[in-house]
Amino acid sequence: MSLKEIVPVLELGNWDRARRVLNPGEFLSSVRTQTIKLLLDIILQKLADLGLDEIANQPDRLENLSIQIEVFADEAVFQAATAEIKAGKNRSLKSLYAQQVRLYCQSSTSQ
Amino acid sequence: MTNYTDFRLLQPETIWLEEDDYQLASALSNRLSGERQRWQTYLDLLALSGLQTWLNEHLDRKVARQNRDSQTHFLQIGDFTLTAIAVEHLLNETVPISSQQLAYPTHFYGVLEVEEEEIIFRGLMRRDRLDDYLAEYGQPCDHVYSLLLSLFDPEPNHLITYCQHLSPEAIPLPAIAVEPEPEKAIAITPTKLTRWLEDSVISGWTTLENLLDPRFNVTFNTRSIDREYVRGKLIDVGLQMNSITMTLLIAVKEEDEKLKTKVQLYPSSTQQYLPAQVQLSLLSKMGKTLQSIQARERDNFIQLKPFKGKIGTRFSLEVALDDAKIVEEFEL
Repeated sequence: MSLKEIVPVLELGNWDRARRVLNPGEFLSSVRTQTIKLLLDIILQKLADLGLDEIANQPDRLENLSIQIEVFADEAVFQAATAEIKAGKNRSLKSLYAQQVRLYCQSSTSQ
Repeated sequence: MTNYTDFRLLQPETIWLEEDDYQLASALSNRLSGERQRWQTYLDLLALSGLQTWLNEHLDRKVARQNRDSQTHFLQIGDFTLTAIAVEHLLNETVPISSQQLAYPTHFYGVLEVEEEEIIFRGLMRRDRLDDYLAEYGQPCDHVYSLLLSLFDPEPNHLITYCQHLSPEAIPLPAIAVEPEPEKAIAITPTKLTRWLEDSVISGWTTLENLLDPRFNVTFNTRSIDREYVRGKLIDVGLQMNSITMTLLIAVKEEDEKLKTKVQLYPSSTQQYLPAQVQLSLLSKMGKTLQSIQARERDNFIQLKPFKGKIGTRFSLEVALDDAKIVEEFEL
């Protein structure tokens, strides 16, 4: 379904407004930010539990840890999702990210 | 350092700007004199508003815009601070950082590209890392350092990470050594009127003798010029407002160890009268209006009361019509 077709269905008024609200790239970026933040919180909590919580004074170490988590998350989920979004028409939405978004939408509508 | 993935290359963080952002940026930047300062401050404020919106969505810290003076704005993110380096484009892959932005140290420097409806996050640099780099390679040109964009961290999520998990003391900030003058930081060079007394010809100006030459094609009233003035020079301020070009004439002479200055505004050679309501103002170094004159219907020219000042005194002249204005800076 194209954005042009979605506008009247969701009563968004105009194409420009729809472009802002329904932006798959922005949504993907937001999900990635939240995912990495969550993973980092968990790992830092583990470190704190082990008494290794000196990272608050080590910006380089904190940055390295963040980058390692990003590399892991991108390879596992977000690289494939980005490639799908950038593919344009006739893209196959089979990535883990696309599957999870579909599952989330289905579970939200069935509730 | 671990390598970044190419996620941000394909999917840079884009933040939509809202109508309120434009209104705020416009209202605050319009208070400034000097077109260049006004435009840069306008971009900085749009960049900060956009980034503030994005941080508020992702961070459970108070994020507020603060300012040190009328043109130095920054973000306060909990106990951290951030300066926006707002640019219109990054075609040459270099990022300009002014000495004023460095003189007011903040924990982070964010490069933000301001587009028509949105801002794009292009890079982040911690102050400690910036200082390390500048200590080794920093060579400013006209008070501006040019840094390669590739030196900046392309991942905006790291800003969230730092603000959430780092202690502000982990990023040491240099002390503010000298209170900078805002005009100097953005490399505005005022026109030095004393140079005219030495018969110097500054690019863009012409001599009084040339103005009196009929071939010069400027139709101002020469009787209104005080012939005792040592030099008088003309500037075409290039003011394109409603397709009207005007000409600013300034004459100076030495008097009692001071410089006496006379300022007049004329229509261009193709117009007989100045546009009604056009306003000519004298502003102090700090942008305060010292005197002002407005054209009526059918005025051939308008002029300020002659004023005197010590050598080295700085001032600005502002020509304004409706919402448009142009400011020229001078030093006696």
